[in-house]
Amino acid sequence: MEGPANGTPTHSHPSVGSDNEWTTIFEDVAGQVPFQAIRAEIYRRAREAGFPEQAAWDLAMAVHEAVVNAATHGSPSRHEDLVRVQHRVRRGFFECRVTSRNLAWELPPPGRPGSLSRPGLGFFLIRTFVDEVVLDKDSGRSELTLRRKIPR
Amino acid sequence: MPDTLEVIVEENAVTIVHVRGEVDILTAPALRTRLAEAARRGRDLVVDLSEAEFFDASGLRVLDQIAALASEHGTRLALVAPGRSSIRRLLDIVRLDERIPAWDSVAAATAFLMEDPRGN
Repeated sequence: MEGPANGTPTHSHPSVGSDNEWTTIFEDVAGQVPFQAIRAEIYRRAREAGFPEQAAWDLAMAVHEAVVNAATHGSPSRHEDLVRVQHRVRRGFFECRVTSRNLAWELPPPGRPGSLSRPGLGFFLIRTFVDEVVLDKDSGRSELTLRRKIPR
Repeated sequence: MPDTLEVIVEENAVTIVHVRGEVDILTAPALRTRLAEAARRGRDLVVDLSEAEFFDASGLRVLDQIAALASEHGTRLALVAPGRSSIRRLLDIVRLDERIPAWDSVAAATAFLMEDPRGN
């Protein structure tokens, strides 16, 4: 997994190790979500923040699953009308926030789903690959924040 | 099929499906179609993921479904995912490798199926 593959809008990115404000990696209100480009950008930023290759891959996977969940609410045929992906480095953590208007978004109970075909596999992978998962709902939006400690 | 995924089917002593590129929610349906075709034939099947660069929950669900389909049709299934790869690690995390044997190479997976054709 390397850099963005197809023109994801990106903004200025943080300097290594220092705190910064949220920057928007992607925002969409109606069209196709470029999953590949988003995960490639997360991978790039994670490497830039100091994560080794495997951990950067893990982060890209976790954010990818969050974006898929936000964009499709579990069904590829149902696209939500807002998906936003943001990133920042704060207090030694690599943070990504995925926003959706899907207010039905809920965190499933922790643990491996009994069957891979049942709902919850995406969140199981997310929880496996990051240190903290927080879901906030406010003003008609759901915000899923993923945090992972940056290695020193 | 999106151009991020390439699936090549090779018919030898067993059917070998080579998966190249990225498997995600957009490309997984096409992969499911190709693997289902192969699984229904009743010939032993090797799914080579050694050149797959990305594999998400959608891809894992496809493998889970294909394992069930293969079982229904008497098709034995083996995966190829090198031991140090991210995909092999993913198979281990979700314990899919307990259901479908995973090998480091196509040769090893094929030999496994050829040497023990009835799974004894």
